[in-house]
Amino acid sequence: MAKVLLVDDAAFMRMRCAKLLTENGYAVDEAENGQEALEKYQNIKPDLVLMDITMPIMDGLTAVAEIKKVDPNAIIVMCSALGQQNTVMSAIKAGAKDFIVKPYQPEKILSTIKRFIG
Amino acid sequence: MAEELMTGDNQYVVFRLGREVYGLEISTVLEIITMQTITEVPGTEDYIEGVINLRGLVIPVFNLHKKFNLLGGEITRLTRIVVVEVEGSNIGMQVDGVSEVVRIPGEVIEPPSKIMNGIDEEYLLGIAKLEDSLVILLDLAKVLRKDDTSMLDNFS
Amino acid sequence: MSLHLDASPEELKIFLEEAEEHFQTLEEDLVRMEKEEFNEDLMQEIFRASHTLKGSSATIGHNRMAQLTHAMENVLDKLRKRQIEVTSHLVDIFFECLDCLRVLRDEIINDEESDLNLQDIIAKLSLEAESDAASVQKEAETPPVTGKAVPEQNDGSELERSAGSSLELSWEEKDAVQHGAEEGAIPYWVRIKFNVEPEMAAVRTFVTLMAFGEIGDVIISKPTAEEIEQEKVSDCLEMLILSRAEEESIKKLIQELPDIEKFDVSNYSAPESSSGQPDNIEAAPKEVVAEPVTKGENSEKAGNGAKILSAKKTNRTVRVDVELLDGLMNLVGELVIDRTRLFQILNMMETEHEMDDMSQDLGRTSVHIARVTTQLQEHIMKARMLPVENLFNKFPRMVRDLSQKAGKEVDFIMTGQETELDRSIIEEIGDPLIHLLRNAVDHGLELPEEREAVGKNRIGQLKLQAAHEENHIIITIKDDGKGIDPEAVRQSGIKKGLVSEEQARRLTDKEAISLIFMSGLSTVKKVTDVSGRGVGMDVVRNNIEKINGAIEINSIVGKGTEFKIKLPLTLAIIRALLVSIGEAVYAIPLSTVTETIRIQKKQIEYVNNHEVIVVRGKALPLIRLKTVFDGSISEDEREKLFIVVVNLAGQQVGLVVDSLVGEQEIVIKSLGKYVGDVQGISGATILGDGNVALIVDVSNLIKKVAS
Repeated sequence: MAKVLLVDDAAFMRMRCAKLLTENGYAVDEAENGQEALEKYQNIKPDLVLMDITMPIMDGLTAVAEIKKVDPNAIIVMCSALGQQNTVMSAIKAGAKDFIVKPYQPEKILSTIKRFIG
Repeated sequence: MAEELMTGDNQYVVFRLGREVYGLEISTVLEIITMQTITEVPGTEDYIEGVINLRGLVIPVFNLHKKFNLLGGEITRLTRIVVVEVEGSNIGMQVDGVSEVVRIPGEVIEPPSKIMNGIDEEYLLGIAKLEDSLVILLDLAKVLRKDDTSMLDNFS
Repeated sequence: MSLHLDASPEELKIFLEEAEEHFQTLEEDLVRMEKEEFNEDLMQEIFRASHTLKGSSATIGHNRMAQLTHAMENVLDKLRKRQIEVTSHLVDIFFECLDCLRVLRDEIINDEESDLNLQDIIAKLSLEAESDAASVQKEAETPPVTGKAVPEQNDGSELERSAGSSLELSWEEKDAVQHGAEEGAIPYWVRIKFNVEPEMAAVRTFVTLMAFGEIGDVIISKPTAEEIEQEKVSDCLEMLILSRAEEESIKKLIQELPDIEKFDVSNYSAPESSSGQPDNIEAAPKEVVAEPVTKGENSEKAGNGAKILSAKKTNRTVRVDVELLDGLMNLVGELVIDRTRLFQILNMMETEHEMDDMSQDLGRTSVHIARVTTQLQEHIMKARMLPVENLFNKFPRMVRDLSQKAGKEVDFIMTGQETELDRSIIEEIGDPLIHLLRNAVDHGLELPEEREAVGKNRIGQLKLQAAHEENHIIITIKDDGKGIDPEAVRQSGIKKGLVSEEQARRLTDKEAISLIFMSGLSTVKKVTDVSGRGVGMDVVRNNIEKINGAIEINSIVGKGTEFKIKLPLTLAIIRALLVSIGEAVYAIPLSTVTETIRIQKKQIEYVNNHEVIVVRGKALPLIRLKTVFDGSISEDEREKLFIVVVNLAGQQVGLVVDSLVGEQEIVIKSLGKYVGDVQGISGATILGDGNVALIVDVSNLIKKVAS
């Protein structure tokens, strides 16, 4: 079962996303900020990371850079809101593979994840 | 509620109060327990015997004899506390003995009439005529409602 | 009208909880934002709160909340980048937003759209967001950083017009194509038209370009990677790539890519004539091969957001329903009762039977269970604790608004926000604190001119402090205002018939001031729309005593007033003194007990037909609990009596009981609505022997004596 690490500071968003992913056969782990994501990434080695951008303690952009340092092959998809174009761009340059725009459309999340990890 | 009564069969817990037989719809009855040590609560209505400990829950015990002005009510080895649930609260009712659970068809239930001695007809749902006895069906919510007039009396 | 939100009840619950947290963050931070110097961390926190609300509300389909938070975010983004400045007016607007957000939140709770109109507030926000454009440009003559890219020669129309042959290859690029072809790579010409939110077009284009980088070399693209970064994009992307992949697999890759409306892939054949010719070198744009850029000029930007806020600790937490916590607390209450019961049984065994190995074993196990129960109780109590911060958060804004309205200048200082209290106590204590703070601003503190006239700083001080003290929490509200005149309270008390002239004369100043806690006493001459002095002080006292707390007042004329509120750590379990009256056992909350005295019957004296005893030179009024509860006035046969001295809000009374049973932790249980309010009884508890004991309502009894 493919593992997805869900990173978002809003429990609500995690809950919703986790539900969608579990229902579609993914194993889901959650982190509520970049720092925790980095720790969890090293422990559970997820196949893909869904990364929110605006978070306390460590933001998504920094987390992408940090995770890429430990695993250059990490597959990270940014979750952005409208108006964060610059940050998403920086994240892509830092090694994120793709991005999804909030509010999430379930099909879009699934097709994006599927494209990378099947 | 009344319409429901008229149409279908319902099961009732049947118990004695003095010389009369009363029934409570089975869904309102949680359990029937033997007599307990009752802690009197000063300054309450006289039909509130006090409170008991029901597995960690403090619940009041009503004395229906006093509420309905019936004879009897002495504590014997048959005395039981019928624990009911009304509007989310658990309440005990001290009765003279619980006989059985019976199924009463809606058609044998008649609306309350003034012939009943002692009890206000407003407390009743109806009277069931069974082969060997009359069972008075109680409207629990009304029986246990704290009537406002007596509360005012308390204050004055 | 129903909202038709796209979320399950469970999801909405989490959403609402989180929303409330963000509201509180905003509430607190907005006040700080106005008061403090620019603080990047603070601004980021405010931005995050608004941003997260935006994302979540859009997800559940609460479009109006998403709209408002989006508009807020635009302004907040400029604030954090210091493109606009914080003004009092702006803070007002944000507070207005917060009020609107709460209305919108309530729409979810009620599942009904309110008639709140957001147009005005959104218009105000966009006005603020625009306010920088003019000023910043005037000062620095630089275009706004976040401004949209100005379409240049690479705009969509040109791309469209020249579609099919717009990619002019430089000499090096042609060479690269040539070289690649020799090594077996095929040059493809790819054209893509996107179907994407215009705001995200640049990133989408960029990601797409990167995706091709993974299956081949991008020789040239239009727009170029540089242009994409500068947001000079349209909805089209053209490129020439060199790849070893089949045409079909390239098409397949494109099909999998998101946001693509249509595309075209064809084999590229370099124009024969120009092959190998180094023409147009100057005219051709210098292309940067699109490769993942991890370092470079943008790393600085990345570093900006890379601050690790060490101040906040990263606790591992889970969310737990309050009901579950209440349930756990009840279960622990049961255990506490059984613990007591267990020891009673053990005692009986020891006295009535020989202690054998088995009963000794039972004894040891009981001791262990008792210890575990105590620990469990402590842990669950801790789990129910919240820092008072959650409550205090809203006060700075409240004080700010109140003082503005009253024309006063107030320096509001809060300390001890980290102090923890049981959440149900926090819920109960909110209203009393609001009332006391209002009173302090309205009546305690003087107007700036008045203060200056008596030589005080024109800015009044109002302190709210929470602290842990032994088994209690003390909350203090202190102002340096005009204080309360005991003489005025005495006169008022006499006028209202609360005390006789004689009684009033005998009261100490502190006792006199404490009269304000009695109902019906008010010394205020002018009642503002906010609060009247004294009005509601009895309510404040009742609310605090209801949760087994106590309130005390100290005031010095001209110097200020201090309220001290003593609260138990938890509501459910308290320490109590068990006493017996006839057959019955009653529990008296230990927090109210000052001392117990044993007296001779003949020590009792009479004042105005009331029983009193003299303790350390002061008359202490007595209440015989037997008389209160039994109604019987039976003359006590005993020569020796036990007096439990209780104290609340500065008033002392001696409760006469038959004997003292002991001190014990008790679990408070309600008597339920069918028993109703009982004079002198606040609830019940279950004793170790399984019987029910009633808890004495000390505050109620003291009031009875006073009246």
